[in-house]
Amino acid sequence: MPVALLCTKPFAALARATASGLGLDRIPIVLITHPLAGTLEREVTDRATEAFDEVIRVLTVAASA
Amino acid sequence: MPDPKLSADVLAVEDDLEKINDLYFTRGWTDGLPIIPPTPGRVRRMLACTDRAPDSVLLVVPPRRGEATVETLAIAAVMAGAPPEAMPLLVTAVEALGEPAFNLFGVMATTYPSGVLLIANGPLAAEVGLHGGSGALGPGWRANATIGRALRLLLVNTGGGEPGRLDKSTLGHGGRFTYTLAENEQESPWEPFHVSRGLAAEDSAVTILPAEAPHNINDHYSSSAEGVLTMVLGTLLSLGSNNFFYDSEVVVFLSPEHAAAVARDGWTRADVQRFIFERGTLPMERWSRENIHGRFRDKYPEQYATADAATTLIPVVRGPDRVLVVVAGGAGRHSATVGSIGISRAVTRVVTTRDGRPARSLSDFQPSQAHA
Repeated sequence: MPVALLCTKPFAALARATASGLGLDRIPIVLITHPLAGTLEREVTDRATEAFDEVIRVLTVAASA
Repeated sequence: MPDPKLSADVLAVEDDLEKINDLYFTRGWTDGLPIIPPTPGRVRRMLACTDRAPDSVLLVVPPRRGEATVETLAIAAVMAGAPPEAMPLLVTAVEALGEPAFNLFGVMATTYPSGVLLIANGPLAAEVGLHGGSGALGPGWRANATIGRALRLLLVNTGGGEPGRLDKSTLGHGGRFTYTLAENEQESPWEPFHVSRGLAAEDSAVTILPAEAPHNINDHYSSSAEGVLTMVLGTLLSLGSNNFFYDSEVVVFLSPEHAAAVARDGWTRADVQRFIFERGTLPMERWSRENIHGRFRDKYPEQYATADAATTLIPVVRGPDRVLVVVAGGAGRHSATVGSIGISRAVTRVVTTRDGRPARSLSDFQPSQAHA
């Protein structure tokens, strides 16, 4: 099943290490601007907009590669 | 008895303590403090105090899911400066870390400042030299200082935990170096803590909890149970405490003088737990507007969506059993509360020999034939 793992940039290394530890080295990770907690709704929308194209790419191009 | 076979790689390095420490620090293998170089001889001396085989896997450590074996534990114990007699307690503690309820990932990776708080009880704690009296959570007590440090070094070097990279604790606290003590059983008016957790007094046990730093309670005036515990509650009930947001335990360290005042009124440990649970609430209106929504109204709509914030009480713990009452410290009228991460539970384990028998003394641990 195509999947995209979203995380904010300071947590990228942790996300990769955790995924690798679980045997999921190839899981696509899409990074978004930190922080997410404590942000306004407009900022959350900005994060989604920022990630949109990359999420579509990893769910389609990367998955079929 | 032949020497145990070791499987760790052996580095050939110059016999220079400063250079060895520089090497270990540069590779991210220390906590920033100097270590004792874990030479094969020192590691074997550590292994001689446990009956477990060096290659026994005790724990798989997140986030990298590296294996913590008895041998890697012995290496960490040497590096930390722990006495070899600490090995049986350390083995038990590492096995306890693997209990899913403990939430080890929460200790290793999240932004919350959690250290592995280890409370030891029973005869082995005394034999190892663990201290529960004056300044037990401070410097000066070798077993306290090094057992917790050994756990930390093991976790970081097997699971990965470079601060800022994989260890995301926003600020951290000193208990992430070491956070170990014994209960002050001699000066407690109640049964030992591990007995209240269902074990026998002659058992030895460790209890671990992912915990934040202790919050002091200065109370030089209360002479009644209700007075002392009112001050405890006032310290425990802080708006930023994880315990309001998630189901977990709090620790109440009562100094012997405070515990004596409480017991003098005829209160048992269970009475203390019940009081803290029943009175341990704050009205929802005390939180910020954003938290009232984010933590309560939006998260638990059936319970809080339309609740009156002025009269709705939020409990700090979900039941009296979530209050861990431990007598610790020396002379003086200072106790402390300790919050925990949430989505986790304290784990208590009895120290056993390899065949599962509760250990009665360190002499029960003989080097294993499996070492050969």
